[in-house]
Amino acid sequence: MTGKVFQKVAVFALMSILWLAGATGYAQNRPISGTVVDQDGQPIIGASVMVIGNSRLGTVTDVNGAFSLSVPNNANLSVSCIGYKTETFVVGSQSSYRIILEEDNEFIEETVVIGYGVQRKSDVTGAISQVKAEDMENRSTNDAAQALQGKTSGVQIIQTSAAPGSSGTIRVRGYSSNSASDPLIIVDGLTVSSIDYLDPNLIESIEVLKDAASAAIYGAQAGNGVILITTKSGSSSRDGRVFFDAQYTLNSLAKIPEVMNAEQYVNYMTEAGFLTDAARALWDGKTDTNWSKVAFTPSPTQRYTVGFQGGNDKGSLFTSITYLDQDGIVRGQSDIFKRLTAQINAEYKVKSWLTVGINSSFEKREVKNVSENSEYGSLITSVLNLDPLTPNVYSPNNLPATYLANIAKGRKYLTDENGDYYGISLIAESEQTHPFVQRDNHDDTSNGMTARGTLYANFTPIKNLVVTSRFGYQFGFNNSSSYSFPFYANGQNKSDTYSLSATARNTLNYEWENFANYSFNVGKNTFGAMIGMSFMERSSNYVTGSGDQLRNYAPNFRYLSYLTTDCNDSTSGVESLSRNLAYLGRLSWSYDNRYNVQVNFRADAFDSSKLSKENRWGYFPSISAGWTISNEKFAKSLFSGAFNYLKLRASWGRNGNVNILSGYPYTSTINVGGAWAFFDTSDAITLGSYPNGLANPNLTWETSTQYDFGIDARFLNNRLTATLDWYDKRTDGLLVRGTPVMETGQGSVTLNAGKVLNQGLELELGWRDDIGDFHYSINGNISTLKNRVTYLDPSVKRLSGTSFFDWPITYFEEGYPVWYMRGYKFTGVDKQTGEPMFEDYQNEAEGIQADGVINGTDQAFYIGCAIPDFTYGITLNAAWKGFDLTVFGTGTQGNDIVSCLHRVDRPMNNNLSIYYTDRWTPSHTDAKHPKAGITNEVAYWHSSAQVYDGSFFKIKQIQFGYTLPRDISKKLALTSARAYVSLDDYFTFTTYPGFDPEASSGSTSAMGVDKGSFPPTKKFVFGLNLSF
Amino acid sequence: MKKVLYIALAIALSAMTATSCSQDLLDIQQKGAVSMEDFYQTDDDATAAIAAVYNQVMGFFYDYKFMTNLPSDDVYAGGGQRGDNIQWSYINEFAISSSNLPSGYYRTPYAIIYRCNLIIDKFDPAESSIKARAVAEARFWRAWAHMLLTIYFGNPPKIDYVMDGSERPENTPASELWPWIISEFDAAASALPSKQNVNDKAGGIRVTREAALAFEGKAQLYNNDYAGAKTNLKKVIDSGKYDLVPGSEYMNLWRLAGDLSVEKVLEINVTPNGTNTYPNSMLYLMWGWRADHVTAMPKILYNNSWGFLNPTKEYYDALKAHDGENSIRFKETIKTYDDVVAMDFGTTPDGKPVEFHVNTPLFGHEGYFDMKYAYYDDGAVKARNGYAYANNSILMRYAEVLLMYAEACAKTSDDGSGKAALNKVQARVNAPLTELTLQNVKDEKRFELSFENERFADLVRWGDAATVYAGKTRQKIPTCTEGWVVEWHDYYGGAVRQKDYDFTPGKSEHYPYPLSELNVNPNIVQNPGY
Repeated sequence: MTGKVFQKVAVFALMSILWLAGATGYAQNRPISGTVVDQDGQPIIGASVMVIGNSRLGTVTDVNGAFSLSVPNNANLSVSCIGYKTETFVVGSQSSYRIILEEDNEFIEETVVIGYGVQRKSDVTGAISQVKAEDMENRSTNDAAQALQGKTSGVQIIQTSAAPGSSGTIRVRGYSSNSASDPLIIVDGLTVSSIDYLDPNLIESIEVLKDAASAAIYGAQAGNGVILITTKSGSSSRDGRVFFDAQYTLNSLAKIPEVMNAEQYVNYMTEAGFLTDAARALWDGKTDTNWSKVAFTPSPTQRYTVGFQGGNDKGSLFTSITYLDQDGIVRGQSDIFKRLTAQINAEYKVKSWLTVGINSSFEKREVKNVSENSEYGSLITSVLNLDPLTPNVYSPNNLPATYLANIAKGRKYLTDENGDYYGISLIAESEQTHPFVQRDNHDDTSNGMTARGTLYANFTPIKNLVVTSRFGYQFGFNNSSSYSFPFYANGQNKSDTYSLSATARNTLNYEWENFANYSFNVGKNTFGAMIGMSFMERSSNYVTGSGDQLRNYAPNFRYLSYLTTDCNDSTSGVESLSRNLAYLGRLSWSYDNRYNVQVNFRADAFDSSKLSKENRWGYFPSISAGWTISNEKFAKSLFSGAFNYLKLRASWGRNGNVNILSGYPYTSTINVGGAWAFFDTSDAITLGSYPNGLANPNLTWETSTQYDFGIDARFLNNRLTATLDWYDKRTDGLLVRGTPVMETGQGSVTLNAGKVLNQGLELELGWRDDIGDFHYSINGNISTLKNRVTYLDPSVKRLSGTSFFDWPITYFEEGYPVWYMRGYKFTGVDKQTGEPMFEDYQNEAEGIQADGVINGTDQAFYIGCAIPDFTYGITLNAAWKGFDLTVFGTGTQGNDIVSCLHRVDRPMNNNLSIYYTDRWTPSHTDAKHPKAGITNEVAYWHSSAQVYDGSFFKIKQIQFGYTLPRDISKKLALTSARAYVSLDDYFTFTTYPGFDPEASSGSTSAMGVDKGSFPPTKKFVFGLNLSF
Repeated sequence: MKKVLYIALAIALSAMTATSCSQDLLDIQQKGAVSMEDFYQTDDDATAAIAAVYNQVMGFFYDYKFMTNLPSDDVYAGGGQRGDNIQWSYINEFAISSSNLPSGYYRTPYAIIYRCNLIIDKFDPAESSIKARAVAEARFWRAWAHMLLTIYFGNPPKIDYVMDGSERPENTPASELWPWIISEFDAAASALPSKQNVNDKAGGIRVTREAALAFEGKAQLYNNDYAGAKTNLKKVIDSGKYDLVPGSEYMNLWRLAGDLSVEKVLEINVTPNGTNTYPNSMLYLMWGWRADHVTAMPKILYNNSWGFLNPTKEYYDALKAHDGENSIRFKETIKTYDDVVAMDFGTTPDGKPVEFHVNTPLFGHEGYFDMKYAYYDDGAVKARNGYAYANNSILMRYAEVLLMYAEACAKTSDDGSGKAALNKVQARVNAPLTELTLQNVKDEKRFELSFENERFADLVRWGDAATVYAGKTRQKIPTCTEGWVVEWHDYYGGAVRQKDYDFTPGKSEHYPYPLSELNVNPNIVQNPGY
């Protein structure tokens, strides 16, 4: 919707400029005037009237559809307007003209992409959201998934890391599984596992098939929704176009969690009894290091695109090259993302009955990342954990005694480029050491190239029959290497050895799909049918080698070829292969634009690595129907003026999920030679063999059944649009990697053991209007979600998910949302003692009595859930003359975050300052946090006291642009020129005290677990869009 | 136009053809695996299957040493500082709970049992001697794992068949477990080959008839069947296939040089080969002295270990009082701070001797250094991050057999051979020879088998735990700094700890069943007090 408004605004702006130019006119021409109307006689505003062959002569119609123009005698004029078929006429003797433009149905009837075909938007019976190019252009994100965030209802994007080159995780309509609930993503007909390779600016549209009926055509893989992406093509521009986009972004740390400063740290640790006098004596009394200032610094991202777009009635071409260079906010060149992307989309009508085309993308990428998300030492967490008493660096001639002693032992401390020694805490020994030790103690690289795409041919042997054969491919290679060397920081963070490992990996996926679409009309009935098949093969192969001694350790020797012959080395490599076969079909019927019914069916089979021969086939049917009430005769009188359009939709369908299935989970095989023993007094090894896991021959699909009821409506002369959907999605036969009882002696078994319910309401509202030259639109969406595990096999009882050190935090259990947080329940601070208080767990059913003692059994309370009650997004677009403004924000409400920034066994690590400022003291007994040095540390640091409200609202984008007036840009030989500035991710509203509420350790069982992810940055963006 | 139709038909046809053969393409053979049905057939399969059992025991050794030794009154769980591997401190302080007990203590014995049950279930011992031996060994290891579980958990479920995933076994009372364990050891003993002779090195690294009898005797002690124990242990002694190494080689028992010696009744053979000795070497890495808190390590020790097992002063004093200053045990197995300073640390480049200092306080340390499980340089294969260690993992040595026999005699009657056994152990280390009394055997066992897995279990078995632990609180933990300055720390902010700690009779005799097991098996009744 927004897109169309923009197009119209753009056209109008352009035409106005033309009109101004044309108004200067030529004296020798003669004046004519006229009106342009549609078939109903209504005036068409903003239609362009131009002299063919002299584009400088032209004008646009005013609000009454009227125009006047000076033209040469016998001039050929063309009258055009978006949404109408272009008319031409020859200027005759008359001076006044009335031109009727015929509606261009192909244009008016917006289409949406559905599986194996397209559909008129008005015929849609499922729940399909569409996001158009305009919503994603000029964003500073380089990840297509993140560009989708907040733009449509029912879709949540989880950002597990904001490190350069990372990508968002997409969730469609909740969390239907204990395993990854990733949707199926299809780009131009090709199934891909991720869209982080896709530059958001290349995307023409994204369709999200949310309900099961729409997704059912993708069967076994569609249980978590389907994302269909269409990249740009050449056909949309009538004239050839060369465009150039440039964007420069300055990234900086958006939110710095407040940790204790030196004074607070000393006070807190002294009160706790952790800081001994000896330790305190090691502090110079002045040092107060701010580690986030040490680690982070603003850094740039640059992105340039050159593209060519053109087409005629025979064919079209879109091709572009994008270069991206991002340096992350960690000082130095250790977090970078470089990507070169090329896209070639071409189509040609070879014969009247044959069209062939190609969509191809090439991607070369290089990524370097710093460590994050770990309680066992990472650059990001170290910033919060390091004590402020330790200086950033020690100069070589002023080293503490500990350094000197270790250096004397031959241990190597790391230094900065000036030769100063990175400061290592002498007070608190932990895996968390100086951020740059974490950064510099290894050298990892990864780079590779991937080509993806589809080749297709459409045959039209008889009218209305299109047979498509489509070949999709993806091949790529990746080389990575990891080098580490002896260094010493402290006893927890050191290495005594060299190690080099390198991996080369190739992937080759292909798919072949053949399908035929046929449609015909009988009276007011339109029938459609599609039948097809799909075959996919995915394979990959890798070779990896490693060793621990090199002939020379200089950078140019860090290759496997230069390992010494007698070093400890190892190699491995294996091919992996999987295949999928499917048959699919669709029938549709529509009657008089009033009734629509669609039936889908797919039969899917996966190879033996996933399911046994007996259980490999799955069948996925669906049906959906729509009733456009506003097109009923009886309703005509109701639907005019304020109330323009009303359609009801209902659907039912069934999908599958196979994400967790891999590696022959239904069977138990023998791991040959996977163990060893020494039965001989010599060094000879006796290889041992044992079974892998517990077999489950009955293993089958995870199946989702979903109902959807929807309403589409338009009001107030179509200015207000509304779409409301309610769904109920039940997933059965959850594939659970259960832990069998320990007495089996087996680690895990895969079972169909659970059920999950997702229910939600989704509302999308859009408003667009013009006030004179001022055009604006507001689009908002909101999605609610109720998520429950409704059944879990008693043999599993409770699945344990992510742990923080020794605390298993997240669990999957009947009666609770998926992966809820579990632990001790903190009930407040004892005003008398300053000790934390906890609830004593009792459960009659489990035979657990309240025993007055807080111990392991009390670690059993529901203390939080990372799933938001609702998510929302709002986009405001405004344009006035050449200026345009976009404000876009998104947020979540009601989700929890558990802060895993303080390990109970590392009491001397620094912590968030709130634990100091609001701690209990004899004079501040009304404190939120207990005193320093509590008795039951284990319970406190594993309790609801660490669970915070993760709700946030973030203004993702405030973009202000200016498009040069056409007459000026023309002088510069440009067809259009736009410059913009933008503040992206700049303002976040939240009460969460950690880095950023969006950052979470993971998207499945680690959702809402904050172990220090690479924090999202705020961005100042400057960009230029030029076209020639 | 017909031509077009043909093309379309051709595509449709080829699509159908492609899919009909692709049905077969869906059968993809698993790589690097054979099916359960194809395995458990040949003699080679039997050898591979039993090797996987030994491998599991080898992998368990690390947990085994911690679980058996940390509850001992003679040690502190050390480490870098308070909180470093807190679960071990909790075990040492009897503050362990169901949720933080390392679940491997319970899980891994059952993994051993599972591999054994498969062998017992799938192979017919009548088919070949190799299969017969594999089955007998499997019965031995299954009984061994059950014995360990029974000692430390009290009433673990008996699993003597290949379980499927749907069962939820219940606790089996110890009174039912012990007779079964004993009979299984007995059955294994009668089917196993004997150790060939006293110098048969291979006879110490795979279970023999004599090893099975020794363990049967041990199980009988736990079952209060002293007469039975006496009979079986006497068979082991009378076989003449074991001996004590001389006092001069005493310390070699825990070093590479002592591998495969005449004293080893059962040890897991470990041969460094790149990555494959991880579990064993991790133990030494953990138990060896805290290398990064001192300025230098003695030349004989590897310069990297973490100090998680430190003797108490009380133990040192008791050893000195019991053994006297001339005993090899007193002189060799434990070092004072002064002893350490006097050790050889090599020289600096300019020829001066390197000095030993403590630069960071040694945690859980009273200034005494264990030499049995120090990380010796000659066993450390300096590869793979120092994670390869060549020493074999001892499960029983002959001194234990002699002392068990002495105990059985003290409990029943002695024809002189009981006292002889006790004195043989004492004489070897130059300790005073004593009369055969139960108390003398108990004392001897404490010092001879210090840090060798028996102390805590013996105290519980003898019923002495409540008395012995009564005077030994872990309320404060020592650190040792330069010059043997020992400080005592209360890590709980000055307040008396409210949570459970210190030995609690009726509770601390057993570990709690792990929470992760209780979560999935509602039929397991938690041990009292947890």
